[in-house]
Amino acid sequence: MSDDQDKSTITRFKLFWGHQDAEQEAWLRTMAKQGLHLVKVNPFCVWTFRRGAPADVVYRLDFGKGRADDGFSQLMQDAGWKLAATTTGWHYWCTPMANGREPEIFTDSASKVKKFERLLAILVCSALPAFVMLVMSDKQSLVSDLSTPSLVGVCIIYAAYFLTLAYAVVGLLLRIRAVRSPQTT
Amino acid sequence: MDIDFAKLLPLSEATYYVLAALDEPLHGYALMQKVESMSQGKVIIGPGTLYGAFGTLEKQGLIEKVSEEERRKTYALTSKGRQVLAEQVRRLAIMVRNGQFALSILGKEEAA
Repeated sequence: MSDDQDKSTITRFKLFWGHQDAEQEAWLRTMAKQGLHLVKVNPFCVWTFRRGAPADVVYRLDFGKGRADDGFSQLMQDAGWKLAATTTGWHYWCTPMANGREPEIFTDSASKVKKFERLLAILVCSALPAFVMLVMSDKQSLVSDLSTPSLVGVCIIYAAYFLTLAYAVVGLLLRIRAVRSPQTT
Repeated sequence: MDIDFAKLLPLSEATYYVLAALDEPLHGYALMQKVESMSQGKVIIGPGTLYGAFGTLEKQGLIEKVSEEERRKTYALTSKGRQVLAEQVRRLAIMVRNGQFALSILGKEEAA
């Protein structure tokens, strides 16, 4: 970004689940219509926007490691897309709305499903260490070593973690099913 | 070379157009534009879908990378790709004939 541009930025905090790509895309488009253009997002869902002229900008999310590799990003640029922001595997591409037709990165359900499967794989893999730790831990000695309040604390943290994970996984599976059935795409 | 047509066919509409557009070597964006004009705007292939299709088709040996300039990979049809396309066209031609036949019979019944 060049220095002569309006530097004023605002930040927002807004949580989204992994399966809520369409919701994020719609929200970012609404923001752009108000002149707030995405420049940064971090894994804790803090979004940074640059104030500029209101514009109808279409956002699309892609997920996957190395998805912004040279060949792919070149193709995206050729097709008129710009990488607005990226965070932990997520890539936020945007392009101005033109000719009344919403541009898409993925135009068939098979490639859309693959995007969610990549996310699902990462999610499940990231949970494996915690899961293995839970299974392998010596629960007997844990119970005798820890005081009751700290034991309750550990249990609550674990339960919260696995419930969140389960919700995220189920959300993704439902999203994949919706994408696969042609009526909703 | 034996080709397992059962595994490769039928081609999806997008894949079919990718192969049919490669009567000359093309890079991704040129191919996207060509498919859109070939199909009279009916088939639009997004860059994400096309990039995935390139990867799959290259792995299946239906297309091959012939050059790379400024990060733009140019692909061409292989002889296997041409044979798969030919077999798909042959099957589509049968489908079209059958459909036209059925419609002509129905048209005559309506007229009678």
